[in-house]
Amino acid sequence: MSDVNSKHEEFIVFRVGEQEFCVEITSTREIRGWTPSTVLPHSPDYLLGVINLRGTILPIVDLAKRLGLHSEGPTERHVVIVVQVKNKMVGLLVNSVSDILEVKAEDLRDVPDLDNQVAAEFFGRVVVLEERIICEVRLDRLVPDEVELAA
Amino acid sequence: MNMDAIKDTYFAECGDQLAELESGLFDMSNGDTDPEIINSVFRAVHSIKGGAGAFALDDLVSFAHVFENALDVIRSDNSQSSPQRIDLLLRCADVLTDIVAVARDGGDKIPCEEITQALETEFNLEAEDENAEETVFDAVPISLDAFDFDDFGTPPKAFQIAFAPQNELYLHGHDPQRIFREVAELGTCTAKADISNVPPLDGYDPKVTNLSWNLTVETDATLSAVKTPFEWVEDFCTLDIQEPEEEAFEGGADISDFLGGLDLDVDTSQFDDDAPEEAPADFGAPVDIELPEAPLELVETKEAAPEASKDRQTASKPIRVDSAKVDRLINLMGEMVISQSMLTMQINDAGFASGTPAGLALVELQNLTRDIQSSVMAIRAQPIKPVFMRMSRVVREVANATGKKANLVLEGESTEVDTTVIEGLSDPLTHMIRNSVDHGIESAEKRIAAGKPEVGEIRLSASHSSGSIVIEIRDDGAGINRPKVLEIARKKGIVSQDAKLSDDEIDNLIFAPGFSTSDEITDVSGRGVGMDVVRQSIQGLGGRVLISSEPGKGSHFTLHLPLTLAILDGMLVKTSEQILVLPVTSVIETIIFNKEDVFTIGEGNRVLKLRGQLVPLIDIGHSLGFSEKTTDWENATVVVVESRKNEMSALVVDSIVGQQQVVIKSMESNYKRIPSIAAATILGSGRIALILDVDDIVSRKAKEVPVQQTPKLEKIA
Repeated sequence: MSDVNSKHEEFIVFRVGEQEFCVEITSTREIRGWTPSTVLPHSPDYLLGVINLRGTILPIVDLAKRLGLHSEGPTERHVVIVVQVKNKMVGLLVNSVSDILEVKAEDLRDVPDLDNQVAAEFFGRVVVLEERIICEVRLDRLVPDEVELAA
Repeated sequence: MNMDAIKDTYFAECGDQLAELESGLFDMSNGDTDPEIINSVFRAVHSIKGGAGAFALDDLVSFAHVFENALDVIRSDNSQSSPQRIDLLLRCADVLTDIVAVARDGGDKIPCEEITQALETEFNLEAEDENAEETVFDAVPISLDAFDFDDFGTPPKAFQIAFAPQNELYLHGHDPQRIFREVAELGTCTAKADISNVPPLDGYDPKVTNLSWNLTVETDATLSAVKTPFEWVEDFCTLDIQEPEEEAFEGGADISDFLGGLDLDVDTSQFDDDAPEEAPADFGAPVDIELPEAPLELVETKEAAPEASKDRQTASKPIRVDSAKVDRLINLMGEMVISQSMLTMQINDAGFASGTPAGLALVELQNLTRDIQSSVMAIRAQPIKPVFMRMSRVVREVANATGKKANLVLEGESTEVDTTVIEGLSDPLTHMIRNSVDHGIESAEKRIAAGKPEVGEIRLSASHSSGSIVIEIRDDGAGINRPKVLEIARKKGIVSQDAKLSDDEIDNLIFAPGFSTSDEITDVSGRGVGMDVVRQSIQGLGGRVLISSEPGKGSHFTLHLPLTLAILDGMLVKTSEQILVLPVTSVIETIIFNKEDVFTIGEGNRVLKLRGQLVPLIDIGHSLGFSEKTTDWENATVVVVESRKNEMSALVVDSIVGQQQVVIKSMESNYKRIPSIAAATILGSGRIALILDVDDIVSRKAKEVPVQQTPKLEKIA
């Protein structure tokens, strides 16, 4: 998973509820404000629906709900981070974007073996800084696969 | 352009030529004796042969060669054609198509010795007629992207070049002499220095340039080639290149005529290819002249028309464009329609009345958008003719294989249809035409016995009708044998033994999966997958198939197809605060909800009584999970929809918002398929509305029970 060739990696750090998470900056396409979405039928509760991103249909994931945290629901103050996962784009609803970090390879650790499904499922690596630690969200786990949800 | 790309172009052109060939022969077989038709047929074969020679496709060359010779017989004497001969030529065209296909895609060599011999006998051709190689080479249409018209010889023209360098030109180290030499390489060049601006010696500043030149170049090169030598100095000089009409050149409009009879022929230098090193006279040499009293007027420039000479060649020339590019254009067009309706909303909200300048500008924009939209759509639209022409081959082959006699009559083959629809239409049409000949048309003996003409007729027609394409296939055969169809359907368990079916229902049985009326499986029309597949592929194109039949008189199939697959006529409905789009084509009627017409059957299954018919009722808001199950609707509207399988359902919605064309956006591109939802679209407000998949809804919820709750995929700790 970790890239030995590059000394530095850049991450976008954002706040979800009281916690901070990050994603690789190379997956990030844009950051925009929240606009009301169109609800999709037959979809999981963390999927807030779809919005119009300049003519593209963009699904929005409520990251708090997805990570099993308390969700305040979307408000005007929320922010959508548009990320690219494989060949699809998805928007992540977060409270705010707080930082852009340049992280040295030695400051990146694997997630410790926790007795926590969420950690195992959604967190890739951990950025360990002097005063704080920030978990990297695994984007490929966020959105349901092609598998039909319907019975 | 590498060899493969050239080859691709060749095969693409072959496709066009073959279509031309077939269409021409078809016209000839219908008794058209216009010499232009036989010429076009001949040209088609000839250019296929020509290209094949370049790629060393020997099989193709030798067959095309014999074919061409046979056509030449008719071309030189039209009376030589006979129905029999044309029939043979049509079969040759089929073989030629196959050989081209093998040359392109690989595969087994097509046996053509037999038909070659038949041709040679029929047209009294001498085998290996070497003289035919001398055939006159006719003009052949060539696609623009493969060839440049600049390659064609154009008569020499005299370009007039007025060249006045500025100081910067010299400061940048450029030298007019070198430029002139380069110009001279294009043809014969005459350069005349204009020294009228040179001041008397006492005021002479050696750092300022005063010289300009007038050049006359006689060359067959293009304007752009003449410009090239000046490329690097364009910013540092005044340059005027004129491409005079030919008469002007003949007239010899000498630059000195304009110079008011001044004797300025001082520095004329003749540039010659032979002696480029013998540098022309030194342009900077002082010249002893009398200066004119009045300042010279500039040489008047005539409106040059450099493109004029090309117009003849480029008029209405089709260009090949990658269809993906057109698709992108259509997508962008969709975006523009959306943006425009958003703008309209904003302007209205801002309180601009329709008479204000903003309102008028908006109307202008709307008109433009509509024009652009229809033009863009027209790019994708193509005449349906090529597909229809392919059908004539199908009829021929099936008739030959079954020993029947049938004739294909085409109508409305110039009707224009979206390319995607055309591509998807070929297979189902082939199936249907095969069936018509194989099952529909009777043998010649039976036809005569029934008092019909010996040769059966299949009529294939296309037309536009209220925003959709209607394709009809009529045959004058025996019609559908209903007792037999019913018997088979019962035997195969498609319908129950005691089912009572109307004539229409029986006719529609032929579309049932796994149905075949033929007692024996012929190699011509399939194994009972035919009509089922036809129906599915037509539905895949967003269309429907209807059938009607009259015993003894024939059958009549009607295909209704959408004009385009990118835009849909939608009915906007509102339920649980959500706006949803229903395809207008599937809406049968809308009625006001009336409690008395709703009945409950069993547990929670509600039906609507509609003119004596019971239609399952679907609470669409509830079934999509937008709202709780409603039992008591007030002021609700019922939209009766029909699936492609002709099943009806009544959808209860809060209200109908309106009807508009919507641009179809895929849900799958960023998410995945959702049950009951076909696609999405963007409304004028910028919000997304979901387009309902009526077939899915109807089949999924024939009973009004929500099929599933919102799934909880995984419990999160």
